[in-house]
Amino acid sequence: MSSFPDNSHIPISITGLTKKFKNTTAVSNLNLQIRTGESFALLGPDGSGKTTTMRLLCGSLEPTSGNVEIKGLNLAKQTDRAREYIGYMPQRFSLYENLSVMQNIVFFSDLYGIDKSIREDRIGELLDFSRLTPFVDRLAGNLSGGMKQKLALICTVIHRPPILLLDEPTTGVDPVSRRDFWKILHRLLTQGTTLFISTPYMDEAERCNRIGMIYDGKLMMVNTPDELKKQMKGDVIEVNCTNTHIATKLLKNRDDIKSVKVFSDRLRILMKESGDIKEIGDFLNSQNINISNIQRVRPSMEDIFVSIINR
Amino acid sequence: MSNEQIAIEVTNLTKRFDHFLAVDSINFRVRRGEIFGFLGPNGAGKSTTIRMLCGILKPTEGSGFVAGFHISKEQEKIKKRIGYMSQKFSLYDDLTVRENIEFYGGIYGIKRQKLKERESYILEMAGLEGKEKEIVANLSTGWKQRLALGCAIVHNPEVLFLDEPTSGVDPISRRNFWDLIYQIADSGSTILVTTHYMDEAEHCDRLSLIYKGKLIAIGTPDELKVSYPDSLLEIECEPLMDGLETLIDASIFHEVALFGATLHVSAPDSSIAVIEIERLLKQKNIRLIRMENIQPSLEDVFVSLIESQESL
Repeated sequence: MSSFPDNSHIPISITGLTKKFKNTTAVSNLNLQIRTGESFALLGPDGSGKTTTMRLLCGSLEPTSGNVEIKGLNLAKQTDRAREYIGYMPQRFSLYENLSVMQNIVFFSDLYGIDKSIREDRIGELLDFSRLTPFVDRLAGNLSGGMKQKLALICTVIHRPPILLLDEPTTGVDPVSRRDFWKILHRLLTQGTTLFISTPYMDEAERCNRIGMIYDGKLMMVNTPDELKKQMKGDVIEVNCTNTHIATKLLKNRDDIKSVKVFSDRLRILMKESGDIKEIGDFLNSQNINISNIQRVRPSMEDIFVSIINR
Repeated sequence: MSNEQIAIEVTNLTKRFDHFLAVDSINFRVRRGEIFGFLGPNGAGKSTTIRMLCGILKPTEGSGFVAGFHISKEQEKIKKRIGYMSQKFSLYDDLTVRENIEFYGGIYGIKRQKLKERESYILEMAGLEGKEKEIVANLSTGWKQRLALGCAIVHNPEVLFLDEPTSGVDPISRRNFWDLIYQIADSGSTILVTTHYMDEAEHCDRLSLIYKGKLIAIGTPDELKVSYPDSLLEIECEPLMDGLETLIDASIFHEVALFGATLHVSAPDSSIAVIEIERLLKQKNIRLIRMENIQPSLEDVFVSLIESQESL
């Protein structure tokens, strides 16, 4: 018996994970545990450290310091065994462009040694869910961007890995393909797969059980979408008014306002602390801005993100 | 609308490449000063349309006017009156901020005195004052984006085309960027913008959705949401994943999707759907905690519009 704690029930356990490239710290002291069957979104803009994190988690990049454990196995030391649990889909997944959709799937099935007896059902189900069945004979090179991503996902999950790492799988993909893509993910989640996905899309992150917000290589906040909304510091106030861009300028000069998001007919004001609707209304009225409606609203994921970025 | 109030007008605009119909007889008008969103999947015909509007590509059939000029007869006049910015900011990395602005001013043949004026306007508008001598390569993505926008409006264009301008920038930069777009629109320029971010489409005065070369919807964000044919229900239940599986397997709803700790179900009739959902969950001993009608997002609207086209 080993004297170490048995972490084999924890799909991903990250401690003090850090990656430095020359003078920049791409990922800084990440600590995180992912539970079995959960869907976790790593949410952040370009350059925030998402891809570096994904590459550290699948073992294709060595950390400067810190540790990743996959089902209790040390990823740096027991790399091959740990990797058996992982299906990893990088931003640019290599499909064979001169092979058909079906030939690509068969190729990956062979690669993973999937038994011929179960292969047909599994492939059929995945094709069905992704609505790729009519395109099985099309060359992968001739697929649209959304279809390529769906095919890449099928090839990644054909051997049913219990842990799935997806690096920005739907960036630049149209909303319809994105829906199909999530249908496959839902099916995998109901089958008990653990999902770790990176995304720059706020609304996509909200589909997951938990969200980790990453910015400048630091994990700023981790929680369920609901809890993040409940815990957010500062009120969000929406004002329907005239001259929205003049109103924006006036509001931005105030010290109690973190950010103003402008639309053609309304403003979304993010307060640093709690906000007094009446006082904001009076302030805008006194500056000759006509208000037709003012109300406190539920924060969006973007409001939360903006509220934690300090600059 | 009188002619002076219309910035873009196209009539039966069509582009065919060999046997491929890239743009299929589309019609729309954009008012002066309007922010008009152009949405659609890759390959739907967005870029082809923009290229025809810019006078770079000749339409196969139909006609169009941009800033009052005919798109296939007066291309040179159009080119002087439009600005263009894409996600690949066309900036010179080894030149300074000021040199980039001057370079673009030169291309448009702006006189020295006028260029000085435009330069200070752009620097102020984009918040780039104090950064005039910085080499562009050293700027962050957010700053580069604002400079690229500044360069695209150096000649004070009547119509500005923005092709996925905010891909990959952080939310604060995106907010600041939209601030600038509103300022430019307020000063009288008309803006046509394409985007993949559905939440960003909310910023536009009006939106159009192009799919397989056809314009399948046009309206304000609110109008489009009201047109959503289905009811959308948000459901909280325990265990959640069993609920998801049960409702997917029932195969009677248009859409069943997971959103955080809730399920979203779309169905044509909400009262029937409510009864069905209650029955299905009860059958499997899944506890229903909450079920309520919610407003569709723009993404819900577009997915439904595209799917109704598919089933035609």
